[in-house]
Amino acid sequence: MHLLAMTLFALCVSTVFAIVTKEDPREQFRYAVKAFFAFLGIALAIGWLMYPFS
Amino acid sequence: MEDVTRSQLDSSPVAPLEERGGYLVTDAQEPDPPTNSPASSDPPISSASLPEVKAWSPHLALKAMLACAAAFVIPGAGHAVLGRWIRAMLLCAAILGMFAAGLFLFGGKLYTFNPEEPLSIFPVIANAGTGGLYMLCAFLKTGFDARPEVPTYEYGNTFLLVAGLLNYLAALDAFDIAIGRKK
Repeated sequence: MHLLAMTLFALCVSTVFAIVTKEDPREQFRYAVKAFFAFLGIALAIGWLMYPFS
Repeated sequence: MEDVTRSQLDSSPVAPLEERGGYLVTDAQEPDPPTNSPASSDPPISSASLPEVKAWSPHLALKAMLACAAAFVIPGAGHAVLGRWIRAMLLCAAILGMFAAGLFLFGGKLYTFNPEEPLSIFPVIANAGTGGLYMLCAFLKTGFDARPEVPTYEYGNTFLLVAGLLNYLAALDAFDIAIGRKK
């Protein structure tokens, strides 16, 4: 459920950010993909960083 | 005449001054022509760097206001009014999806202003960004009950807050497209 929430959040937010910040459809798509994977990657990285302290 | 504006710490040699056009100048610079413009000291701006904005007219202002109003009633409707259908559908799906997921899937709640907690105005402003959806929930009296016993309650709250904030961005984007600042 947590992974679902994180993925859904990343998908929706990266879609809106791409549409709002870019004008060309190809740039929008590339930015959305980059932002989506950045959201997931950074969230996973922070999770692993916090793991030793859990 | 000694230059009283020079710092006493400035030991660089002073170039000889001579009078040109009524101004005392050195060899290193030409006198600037006198101007009456209050912005004469502003740096020159390249006209190519400024986005093209259409000249304001009642029709343009009405179109911009209509796009913003539509964006606040239904997420993405502002872009639909301006003919950007694909963007409208994507924005609607994303923002509506976040709102529905936050409310029904994760069990979050919409905030109302609590006078005993003045800072509660901020989540109210965020939730109200969804505009018509927030009003609809207020009319149906649904979505305002807190359910902290649900494990994903805080996720739901976050989804609802962010959905509203993203709709503010979408409305501003619709405004920019309406006035010609963006394609």
